[in-house]
Amino acid sequence: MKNLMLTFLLFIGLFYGCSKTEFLDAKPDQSLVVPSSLEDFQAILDNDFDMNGVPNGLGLVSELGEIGSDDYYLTTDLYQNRLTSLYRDFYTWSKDANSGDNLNDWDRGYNCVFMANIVLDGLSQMKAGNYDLARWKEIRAAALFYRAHAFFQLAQVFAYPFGSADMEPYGIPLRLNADVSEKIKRSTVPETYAQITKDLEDAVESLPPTSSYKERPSKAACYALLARVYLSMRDYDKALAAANASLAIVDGLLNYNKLSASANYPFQGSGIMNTEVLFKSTFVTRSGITSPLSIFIAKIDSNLYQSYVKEDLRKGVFFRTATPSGFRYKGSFYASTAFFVGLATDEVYLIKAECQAKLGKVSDAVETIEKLRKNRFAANSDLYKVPASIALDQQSLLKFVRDERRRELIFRGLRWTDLRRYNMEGESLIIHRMLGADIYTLNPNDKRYAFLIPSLIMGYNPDMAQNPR
Amino acid sequence: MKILVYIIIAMLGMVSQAYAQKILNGRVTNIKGQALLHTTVRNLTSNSATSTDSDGKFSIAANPKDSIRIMILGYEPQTMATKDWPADGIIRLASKIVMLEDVEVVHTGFQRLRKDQITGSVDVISEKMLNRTTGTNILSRIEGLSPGIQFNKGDAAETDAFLIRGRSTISAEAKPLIVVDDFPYEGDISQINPSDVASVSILKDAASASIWGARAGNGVIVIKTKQGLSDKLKIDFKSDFTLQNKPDLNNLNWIRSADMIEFEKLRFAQGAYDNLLNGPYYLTPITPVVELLFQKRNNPNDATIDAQIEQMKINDVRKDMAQYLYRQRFRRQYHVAISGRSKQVSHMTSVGYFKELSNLRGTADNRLTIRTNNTFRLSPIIELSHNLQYTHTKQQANANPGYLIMDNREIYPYASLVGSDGSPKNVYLNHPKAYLDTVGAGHLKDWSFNPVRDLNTVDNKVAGSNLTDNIALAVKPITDLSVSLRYQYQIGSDGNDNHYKSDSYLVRRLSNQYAYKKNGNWTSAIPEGGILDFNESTLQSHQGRLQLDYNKRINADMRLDAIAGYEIRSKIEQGKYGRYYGYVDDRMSVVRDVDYITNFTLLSNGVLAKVPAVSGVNKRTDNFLSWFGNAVVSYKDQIYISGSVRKDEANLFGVETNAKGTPFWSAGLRYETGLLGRLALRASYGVNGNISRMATAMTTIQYISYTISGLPAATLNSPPNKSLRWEKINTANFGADFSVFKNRLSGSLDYYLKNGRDLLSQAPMDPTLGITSFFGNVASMDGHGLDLTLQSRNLESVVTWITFLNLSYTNSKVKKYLMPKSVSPMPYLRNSGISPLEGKPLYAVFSYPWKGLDPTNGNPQGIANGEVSEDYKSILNNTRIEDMVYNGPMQSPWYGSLRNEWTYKNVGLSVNLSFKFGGYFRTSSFFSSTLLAGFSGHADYAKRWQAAGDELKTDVPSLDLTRNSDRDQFYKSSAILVQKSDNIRVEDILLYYSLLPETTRRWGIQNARFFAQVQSPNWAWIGNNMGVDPYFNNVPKSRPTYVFGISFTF
Repeated sequence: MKNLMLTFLLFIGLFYGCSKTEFLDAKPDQSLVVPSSLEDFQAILDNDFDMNGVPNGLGLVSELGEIGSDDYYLTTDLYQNRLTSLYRDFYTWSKDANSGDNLNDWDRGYNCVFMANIVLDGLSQMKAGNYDLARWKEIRAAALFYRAHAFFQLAQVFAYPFGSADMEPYGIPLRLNADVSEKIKRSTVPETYAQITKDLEDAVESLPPTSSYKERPSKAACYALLARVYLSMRDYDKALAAANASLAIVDGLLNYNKLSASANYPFQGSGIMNTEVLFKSTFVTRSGITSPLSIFIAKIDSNLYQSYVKEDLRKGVFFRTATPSGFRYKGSFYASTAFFVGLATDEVYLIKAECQAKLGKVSDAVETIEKLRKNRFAANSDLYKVPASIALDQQSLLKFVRDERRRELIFRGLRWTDLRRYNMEGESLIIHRMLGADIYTLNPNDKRYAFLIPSLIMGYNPDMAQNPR
Repeated sequence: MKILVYIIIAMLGMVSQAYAQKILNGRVTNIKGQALLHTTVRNLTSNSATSTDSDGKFSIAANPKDSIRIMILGYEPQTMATKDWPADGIIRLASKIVMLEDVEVVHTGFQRLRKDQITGSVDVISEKMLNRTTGTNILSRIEGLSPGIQFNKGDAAETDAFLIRGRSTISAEAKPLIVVDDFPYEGDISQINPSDVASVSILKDAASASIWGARAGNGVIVIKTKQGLSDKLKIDFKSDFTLQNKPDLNNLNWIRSADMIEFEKLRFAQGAYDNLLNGPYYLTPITPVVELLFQKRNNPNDATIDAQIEQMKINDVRKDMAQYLYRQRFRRQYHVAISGRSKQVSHMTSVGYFKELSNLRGTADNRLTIRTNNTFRLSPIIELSHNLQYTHTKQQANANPGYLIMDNREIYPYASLVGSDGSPKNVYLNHPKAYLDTVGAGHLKDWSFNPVRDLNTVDNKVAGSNLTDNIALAVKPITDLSVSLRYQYQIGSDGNDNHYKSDSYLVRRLSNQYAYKKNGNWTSAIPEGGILDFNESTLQSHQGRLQLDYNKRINADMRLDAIAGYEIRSKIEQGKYGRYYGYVDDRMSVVRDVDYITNFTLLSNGVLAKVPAVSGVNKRTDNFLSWFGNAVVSYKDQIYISGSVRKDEANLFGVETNAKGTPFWSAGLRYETGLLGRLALRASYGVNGNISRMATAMTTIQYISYTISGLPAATLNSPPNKSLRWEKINTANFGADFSVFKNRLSGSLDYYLKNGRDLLSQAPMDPTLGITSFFGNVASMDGHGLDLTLQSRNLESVVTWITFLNLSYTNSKVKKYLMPKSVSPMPYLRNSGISPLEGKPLYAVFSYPWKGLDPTNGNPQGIANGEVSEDYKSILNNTRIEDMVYNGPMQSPWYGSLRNEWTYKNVGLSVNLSFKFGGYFRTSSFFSSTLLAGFSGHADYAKRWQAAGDELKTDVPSLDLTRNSDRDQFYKSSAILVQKSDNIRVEDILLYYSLLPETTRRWGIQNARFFAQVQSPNWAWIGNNMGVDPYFNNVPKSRPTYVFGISFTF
């Protein structure tokens, strides 16, 4: 009987042995963490899957602009046999080109914005004095950078270019907090760009000059992005200042003489960590096969290909012969089928040179562009030099720099923005698609220079204005 | 709490008082010796009364001249003089009517109650009924035996395999709670041997289930295992053998070989395959026919090539698959149990084993169960019981995906898996043969995929064991009160070792993909040897309960059965998984240094990738603290009033402690009207709950290690949700139990309303908000339904004939949904995920209006902007959800079963039919873009529109070579492909023969029974004009299962 009572007491002890609060506070899933420390917020931003995109996985930057650009074409056979109807529509700028389902081009950008907002909201709720202020500022600056980067990329595809008076209402929705019950509405184009530049100007002060991880933003990358944004806004003074500020920190260039032009992937080895790369990012494409951009199917515009002279090492480093005819892209800094669309010094040099040319600083522009070209041409050639006839004339030089920009930055996700910008300046660039007997044309400043917001998104926000057609 | 301890100690001290009076002791049972609990025992002389306890025992004060009357509903009352009192005290009551079932005792997991004390809706399935079929999982045996339990089949099984009274939650756990011997069973229910089960009680409404509180929202299934009942030592032996032929692969609607070949010829002539010859990566395989066509192009005069192609037209890969990948299923099952009961001890020990060789070659399933249940009556007031169960399971899976050949890819219909010489053949599903034969110039591993040869190159084993130890101590310090303490410990572990041998396709392919040239020599980042993927998990749970039972006969007419208690439950699951490269089993070695850091450019497709690293750890904790109470008051065995309360607290994440708990309650009434043969009316109302551990109130992240940068990083687990709360399910139940025509026809009818509030949902969201779905209390649902059960004894002579009917209707609709709703039908057409829509069932089938085929080109026609249209883009983008055809629910709202049983002397026959009505499903068809993209096609290709006029004969669109996926998307989701899933089918036919007692007794056998059964023969009436059996929608159709069995009792 005594034993029995002891057992009884033992059981009751078991019932009340542990504290009730502790028992009910046990984590249901041990891996769950409520982000509260600077370490947690840094970890959210270091999720390169969300913040930069994974090469050959799910990327970040919309590829719709590149798909609509004129650097490549598809043969009718490939167009018919490889593309889904959605991508055929994007390729031919169909006025109805729209996805009814989730479209990564939209979703991934806003996912990145949301993650940045979680960090920004979380940082602002931290109690002052409980953390290392310099680190706090740095993480906040990084979150602002990622958000501005995502906004800018979305704006290139789903909003109209800066400065177009008629299209001013059609900016992108600006998500500035992590509240998931917020009502979504579009901002105007000026508001969109004001937010982007404000965030970047705010961020640039607190970022470290450089970062050993190219997934993380740095001062050099932030100035480079500012230069890219101001250039797209045609604010050449500010773009030049930003480009200079970026190059003052990092101005390295990779000498293409060191690359093997005969390799399948010439950037293999030097690759994505090369001296030029400031910040990594990649297109959203998940499967290289269904996108018209796939390096297996896209052929390089023949005029563009011809514009690379024999001594231009890029001709071999960038392209391979396609069957039965034409040329294909070999792939980017990633040394794979994935596209690099991040920030690199070559772009900054080109922004600098273009601004200098535009602002009449002709000799400076020549110096800048030659510094880049020297690293792109065969060592024994002096063709990298700007021909004297061009070097003296501002307009010719500007055109020369812009052509150089197109050659250097092919498949870097910039051509679409450039087309929009050049047309805003009155260049009247008309681009075509030829498929058998069918010819499709995209006129300057066409309404189709902004893609339709996916109908799934419109379905959730019926009051929101769709891009006009 | 200390006070409680003193009370218990004080009670223990009171024990001796119980024996001070002179009393009559007895135990009331039915003829079979089963206890009749809560039976009224009345001293007619003194007019005092008592009732039997849950073991049928009672004691009553009496003088020698008094007479005692023992009465219970459904049994002949017995009046006996005290002087005639039997020596063993056992009083056996004869049942008043021919009872269809043994006495129905409901186990709620807390209490044993007579079924006619229940105010809510409860079904009890007896051992006899559970043994009608022979499935190794107890759940499969209750199918069709109780109304309101729905087993979804075919496509609908993808939604919920199994529900009680429809789905009452959106994203939280929808499965009913399963209780085994008083405690929720935390492991896999397939670990319970159905032969050890004595009864299954199904608690459907709030009054019966709310004692289970937070987990009762979906209904509760209470399983009670067998105890020793017989006074004599009893040995039961059972065995059965199951045979089932290979499934019918012709039910796969694959394109005919001849059609496929003609199609490929057409495409070849158009030059569609020419591009496949361009490198450097060959990601599209070239089928044998296309390969031959290329050969033919170079040798136009070679007639043997044509002959080879013609030869392939008669191939049917399904035949080869059936022959080489499938086999006859065979299962044998044994069960031995020894049991007995004496005054002090009830005991039962059993051993069960089954081994099954499944339909897929190389796959097998084993289970060993050992159970012992003992009850020790230590003194008249102390009872100790101990149940112990051990289960060991082992499954062998290997590398046989059956008809899904590889990575769920379909295969060209004319493939032959084995050559005419009997040697297994390669098939090319990832890359063309020419590429695989030449890449690496002989320095790589064999890259070919050979389904038959490779069958035994993967050794995939899952072994699990589980031990459940259950101890209960009950003390009855005073006559009406019992204090019990129960404790259950459960520990289980599962281990999956998946060994890809070095010659397996996975290892060879991976090794080749990661092959590269180093200093001029080929090497691979994947080490030599095999790959071992392991996944180990353990489960540990403690459950304890302190309970007071108060069973008091208040006066001659009124009786109270009440319980109150406290419960604690903690479950911890832990797991780890990982991968070893270079695993060699015969010398037990692995390669430690694998380069997981470098990004390699894959040889096969130029994609940048690291060596796949598979590893992780996890831990989950489920803690509950609960108070509960339940009481039933009965008056004159005529009116019953019940009430229950329960408060649950759980370790919800990020919720303030005071918000972690929620109270649940119920109330019910039962009235025996005394009308007809019998008519009892019931009504109950109550609130149950449900919770999901997926939900967290704060923003949560999880650390990950697989970034490109190599930096530690975190991924978002859930956005903040400050208003997270428990789901509540309100149920009202109105029922009647009746019998008429001298009990010839009896049954019960229940009508219920089941409304879910604050339902948790994983809701699709506007991606602009940053996430594509959100988990929160965002919906409410209203449901109602009917459960009818009828038993009719049609013949009662030498031949008996009984008919059983179960009929259920369940209708539940989303009432409110607070998340952004898409006006586009897209989210509602997806196969996966749930997109609630107000006014519709959770799983609703929508489709685009169908306007037939265009007579000029065979294009499918829909409606765009109000007009008949072939502008598919416009149809897909502009059709709003309200313009869609709403076909109906995916889960059939009407379902049930009809069973007829005949006996003649010692031979019995039983036929069980099931039926389902009112559900819908999408059939598959031929989609041009799918055929163009690969080499899988649908048999409807043969029925496609080909010339004007065909539109009158067919609804299958013409072949479209423009790869217009919008056209297919429209057709796939159009009304023409939605069909009713109505069907009536034979579930099983059972024939049994029992040896006559005279015969068996001579051999020392009490009982011997032989049976033969055909299960799921799929003899069915199908309610759709396409003739597609909704249970087998474009998947192999299973063939009838034959079972032969014997059982002996010694």
